[in-house]
Amino acid sequence: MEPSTQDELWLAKLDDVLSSQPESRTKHFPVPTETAIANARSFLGELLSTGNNPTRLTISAVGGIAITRRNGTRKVMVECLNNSQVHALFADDETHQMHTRNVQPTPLGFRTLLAESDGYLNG
Amino acid sequence: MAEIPNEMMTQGRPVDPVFQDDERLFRRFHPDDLEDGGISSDAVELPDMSVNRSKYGPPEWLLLDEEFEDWGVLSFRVDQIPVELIHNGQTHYTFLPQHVPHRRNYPHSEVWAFCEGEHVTDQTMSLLDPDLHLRWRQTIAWQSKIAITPDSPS
Repeated sequence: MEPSTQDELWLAKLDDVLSSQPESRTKHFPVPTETAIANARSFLGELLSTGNNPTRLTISAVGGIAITRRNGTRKVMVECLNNSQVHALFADDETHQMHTRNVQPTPLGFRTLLAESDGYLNG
Repeated sequence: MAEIPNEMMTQGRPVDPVFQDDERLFRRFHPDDLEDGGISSDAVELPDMSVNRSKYGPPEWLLLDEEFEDWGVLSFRVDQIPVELIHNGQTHYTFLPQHVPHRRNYPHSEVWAFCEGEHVTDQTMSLLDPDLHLRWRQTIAWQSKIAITPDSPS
């Protein structure tokens, strides 16, 4: 069945993260592990439940899955790494200010990150 | 694959360890790594990030293989590499370009990371703190210019 809603489209994209990526990308970057995909699915579910969508979802060059939300010059990129760690980058393309932090890959950890992200992206 | 120019072959030339500050380094990137007209930090990675030296060839040489024909090339200057970073006030990281010629690609080089003087490799990636790695990648992405624009993202 074809995905019908925006949420379903993003979840389908994640489920198909290997096949939905251009062949040349999967050929040159490390394949995401099941743990990375599971963490990304959990984070994406929490994000979509807030009524927001990512602006970018891709295989990370460093191994794992990167999910980005952007608002203007600001972005929050969450990397669900193949070693099961999750890290977030808060970056402003205009001021070149940034900070990072590790994220607990739990529903509470992701909800806390999303609240923090909302404040950053809309600040 | 397009024919490799003769000047690209190493042909017995030695390693040139000297990088001038204003020398540009070229790196190939996927069309999906264009982000709002800029370059995503996903185009940048450690350890041993592959680049080509502008001193020994143009950016077009990175796209000679047909599987890369729709990719782009970014560039940054040697002096734009964050050379030294202290993480959490205690761990000392340094970053340096190294000329690593290949038989069919003399300009090939790598940006190496060192943790407390130890070269970080694929086998010792645990030495590279993920948060520091993220910030380093974003810094290079911000410093980079597009030398060759890729085809439209997929």
